[in-house]
Amino acid sequence: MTAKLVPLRRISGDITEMSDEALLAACGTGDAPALGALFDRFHVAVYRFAGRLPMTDELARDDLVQATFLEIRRAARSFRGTSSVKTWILGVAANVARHTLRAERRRRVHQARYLEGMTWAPELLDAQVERRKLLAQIAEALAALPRDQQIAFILCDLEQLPGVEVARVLEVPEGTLWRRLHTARKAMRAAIEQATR
Amino acid sequence: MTCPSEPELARALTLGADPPIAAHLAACRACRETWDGTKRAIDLARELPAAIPPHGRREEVRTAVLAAAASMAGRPARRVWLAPAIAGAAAAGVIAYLAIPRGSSPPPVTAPAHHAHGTVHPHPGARYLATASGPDEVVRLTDGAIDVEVEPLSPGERFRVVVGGAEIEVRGTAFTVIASDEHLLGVTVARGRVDVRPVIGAPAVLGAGQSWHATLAAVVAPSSPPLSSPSSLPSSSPSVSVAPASPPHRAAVFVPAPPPVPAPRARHAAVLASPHPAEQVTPGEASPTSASPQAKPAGDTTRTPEELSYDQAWEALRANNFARAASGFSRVLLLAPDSPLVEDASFWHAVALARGKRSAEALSAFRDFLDTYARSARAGEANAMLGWILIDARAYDEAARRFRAAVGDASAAVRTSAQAGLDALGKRTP
Repeated sequence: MTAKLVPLRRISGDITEMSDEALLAACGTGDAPALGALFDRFHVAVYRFAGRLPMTDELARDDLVQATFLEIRRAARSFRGTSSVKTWILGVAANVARHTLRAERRRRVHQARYLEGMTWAPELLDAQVERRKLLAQIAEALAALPRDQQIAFILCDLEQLPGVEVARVLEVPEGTLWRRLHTARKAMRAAIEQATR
Repeated sequence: MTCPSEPELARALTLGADPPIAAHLAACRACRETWDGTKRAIDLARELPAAIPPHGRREEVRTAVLAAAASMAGRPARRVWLAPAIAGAAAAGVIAYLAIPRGSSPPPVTAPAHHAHGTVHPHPGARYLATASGPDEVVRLTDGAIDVEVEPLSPGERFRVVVGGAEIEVRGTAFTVIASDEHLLGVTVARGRVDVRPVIGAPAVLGAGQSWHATLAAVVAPSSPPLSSPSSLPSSSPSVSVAPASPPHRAAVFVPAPPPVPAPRARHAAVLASPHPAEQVTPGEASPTSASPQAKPAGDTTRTPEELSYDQAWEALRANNFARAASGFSRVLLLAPDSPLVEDASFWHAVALARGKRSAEALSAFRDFLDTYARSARAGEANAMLGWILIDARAYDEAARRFRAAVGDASAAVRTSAQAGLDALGKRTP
């Protein structure tokens, strides 16, 4: 088994001054420092997206982030500038999540059991218990959504990315996105109504 | 009055209501309630934690991404989404991630690797990886020997070889570094100048023809951490590692029991001898005083490296230095996987992780311990501790299973703790 040394050659110009688009273009030519710089700029956003996506463990999140940046390296040349680089990158993350996390669905039972714990907080009796219960209901409702609806809700409502761009990067018609979003919101709303009843 | 369709309302919630929808909302109570309820749900969902891992872990992922991307170099970029491509990328990523970070060693490299400012010539079996880019370049050496040639650097540029916590800073030179299991063993400079900053001992500056060596003690037995105060030490009388009164939402309080004292055995210095004897610098080549080894004397040479490491780890545990303790116990496992100490080291490794609040790692370490040493005298104790950690992780089924495995333990304290865990789990169900 052999390992390859990470090439550390520099791209021309000051990397910190390059625009997101320029970095992505450099990345498309296989420039490793550009990929590193993209990681530095956007990995927190990708982690946050992954962190909001219901998953069973932290390692799955690391894997998702890693697979996302590898796919960015692979697909950088396909960026057409019809959305911001951030939206595009989160779209890549969403697509990776949709394709690689199908096995997660098989873990639904486990997940439901895990989330069950969040609704149990009798020992945490303090002023925040009600709020915690509410958040637990929300988390459970989010976890129960189909993956496409989760992604629509996280990208549009939590990350607050423009819906039109999100539809583009997910390659779905706008109407489809709004319908997914509506269904997701309805479920979330029902969850808090149930919790406050 | 016609209410807007659901997608229309969803769109308006995202983009802002246009005048007709705003007017409708003002007049239609049902739509207004839907609108307000949805906004509240969104606001609450934004409060859901999206845990960002610590910086160190993100750096590991970054390194793994760059390493995996390097292996993709030369292949044409894909322009379409294909499941196999994604699966391949994910697999490459996972393989690289598993191979590089989290304490595992990078694979051996044999071909010369060219850096921006120099070339690394690995000796057979050497394990190293470049882990930083930009003007601060780092080669992280885990095991073996590498020869490094570095061009003169411009102001503001750095080139370092890092071995565990030690580092060698280069100023434009050629030199050899030898390491074993992330411990710096020696540095020999062929030309130029090198700064050596070992974990133990004062830094040294080496010139051409000079060498630096670590002694066995420096490699195996780092200086003991200071004990905070005598009163902070746990009792030396036998005790158990669980707190029966712990509420289910808290980690169990742990009072470490004394470790078994391993019988002194013949010293196995060979364990830490250079993996490349031909490259080992002989004492005769040692440099003048400024470059001579700064490590402390070897001390008790009747003890094996793993015994010394075990004792150091134990001292660290008693001093509540859990990170060092975990690392020390883990080193015992690496140094002598067949040693009789390994069972105890595995147990205390898990305990140190638990006490250091590294719950995910502790969970895995306790499970490993119990899988490997199911009949251990400490199995009950481990099951009880694991049960409490699992409660924290809200894995109630497994927690109950672990507690049930501990209720028959020989120790009354362990039995009580396990029963308390089961009671706590029972109260959870209405």
